[in-house]
Amino acid sequence: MVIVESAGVVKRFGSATALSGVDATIGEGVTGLLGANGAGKTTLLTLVLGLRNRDEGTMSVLGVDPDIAGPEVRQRLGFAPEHHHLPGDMTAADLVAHIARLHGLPHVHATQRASDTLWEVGLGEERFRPIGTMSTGQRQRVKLAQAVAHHPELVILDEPTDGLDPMQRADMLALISRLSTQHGINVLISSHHLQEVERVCTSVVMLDAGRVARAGRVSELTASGAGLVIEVYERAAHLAAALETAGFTARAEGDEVVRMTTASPDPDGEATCADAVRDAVADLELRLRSVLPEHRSLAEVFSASQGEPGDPPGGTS
Amino acid sequence: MSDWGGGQQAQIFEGGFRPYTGPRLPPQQSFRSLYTYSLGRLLGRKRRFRSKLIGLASFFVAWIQAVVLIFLATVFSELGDLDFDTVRGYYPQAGVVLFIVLATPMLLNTDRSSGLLSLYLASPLSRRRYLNAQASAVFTLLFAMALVPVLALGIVYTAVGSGPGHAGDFVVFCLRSVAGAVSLALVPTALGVAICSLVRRAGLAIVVTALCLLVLAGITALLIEQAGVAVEIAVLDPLRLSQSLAKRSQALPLTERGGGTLDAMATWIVVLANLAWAAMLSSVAHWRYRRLEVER
Repeated sequence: MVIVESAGVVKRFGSATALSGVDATIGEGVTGLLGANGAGKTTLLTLVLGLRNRDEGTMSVLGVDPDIAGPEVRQRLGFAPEHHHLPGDMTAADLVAHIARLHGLPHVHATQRASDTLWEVGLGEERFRPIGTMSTGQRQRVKLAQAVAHHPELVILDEPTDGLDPMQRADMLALISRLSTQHGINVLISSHHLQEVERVCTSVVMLDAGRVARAGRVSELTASGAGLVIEVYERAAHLAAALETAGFTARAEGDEVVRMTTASPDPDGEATCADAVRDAVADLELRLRSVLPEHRSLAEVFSASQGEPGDPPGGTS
Repeated sequence: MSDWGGGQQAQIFEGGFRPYTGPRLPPQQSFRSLYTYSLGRLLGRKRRFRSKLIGLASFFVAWIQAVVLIFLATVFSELGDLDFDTVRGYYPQAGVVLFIVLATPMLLNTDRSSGLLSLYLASPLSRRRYLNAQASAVFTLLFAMALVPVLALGIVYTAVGSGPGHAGDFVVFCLRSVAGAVSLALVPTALGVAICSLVRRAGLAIVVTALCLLVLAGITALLIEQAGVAVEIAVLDPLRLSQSLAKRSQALPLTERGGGTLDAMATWIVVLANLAWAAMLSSVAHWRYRRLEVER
């Protein structure tokens, strides 16, 4: 199911162009929205929320155009902002219930849901404490709770682990993952923390200078087209030489590892390489330990995607 | 399920976070949710003592004179006829000013500085709907502040035989009181909301609102009395303007007292001036909120 779909979306602020033709499809699960400062992440989020109107292109969020029906779209969304400012004199339960009521839940249901949600995010015991007395980690949880209490179809989290220590980050990521896997809430995370995105997201959309530089499933982006890592028990140099002779690029790392670059990023290219490895290993009578697609970190994919001219826009599914 | 004897069965209802399948109200109800919530906030509900004090102090200042008058009317009613014009001329403007200066910034500016506005605008509330809900909450409390003491006094004075003689007259008095309360609440609400929209910090909004009221009143008085400028300049004083309209709503005799030079003007000019102030100030607030950068 497509959650957000945009085609040729352009947004200008005066003479500055924040988004210059964004084509992206965001599907179910947890999706990361990545990009350097000024890449257009916040602008895209405001368009998804229907808080600003785009200048060109089409966009649908949950099947509805946010420009036309912003309030209807926002009722089905949840949003946790990046900033940590929350009303200090309100209790967490009051804030979460209040926001849930604004999203259409009747009074009694909102109060019950606020309590249940705060227990879910680990603030059950603290729910009647004023937010002003809470730590940054607890505030992040309050922000998450108010975003999901009304059980939105899509929740947008802007830097949800900002200001958290490593333990709190791990807890928050587990919580976000649980929202998607256990409770069926789709999540869109805007973040700078690539390792975290890689850990929790199933798909990513990478923005660069107002365009989609890369998009797709994390597993595909980090694996496809990079190459193969072949592990043998001995004579890795011989295997590398045989693969070079067969027309592939390969280099031995020590006596047991060969890194082979696939000629083309498509699955057929990878299969051709795998066939060549099989044939070379058989010819040399080597004992094969493993053949795995080479894994690139999301950070490497992201770095490679930044500033690539004319990179075709893509989408996730 | 276990049978505990006597036919009673114990059940465990699992709580916890689950998909919500209950009723959902349409997006338009977000206005009502915010409006009722803001009414409570303005009165200090579930807020710090300082916030409670502001709302309650405004109502105390606005109503204390009425409470005293009601006490005197009920205890000493046999001493003679009471002047019903005292009731019709009851304008709790000190309370209105206190409320506009202190309470309105605590509502609107605190939303901005506390980050609540960004949460509101990510909900079904649009900027216009948000502003209208907040302004409606302020207006409702000012309206109640102005209307309740007049009606209470009217009922008590009528009960002790010093009010309108006929039921029809009493109904007219009530309608005039409603019109008077609207007159007293309209422009101050617009003024308070407009200033809060232009200033980020609540403290600064309090100072600017107080200065604005003082300066406008002072300058118009000075221009008319000292510089001999035409009396029409008095329409630049929003508080006197709203008071003058309230006075006319109650059909009180126009004198130089209270309304000052405004009393010499035609009613239609005063009505138009009030409407112009309200329209201009609400346009400023809406314009400002349309362009307001919200922290995200």
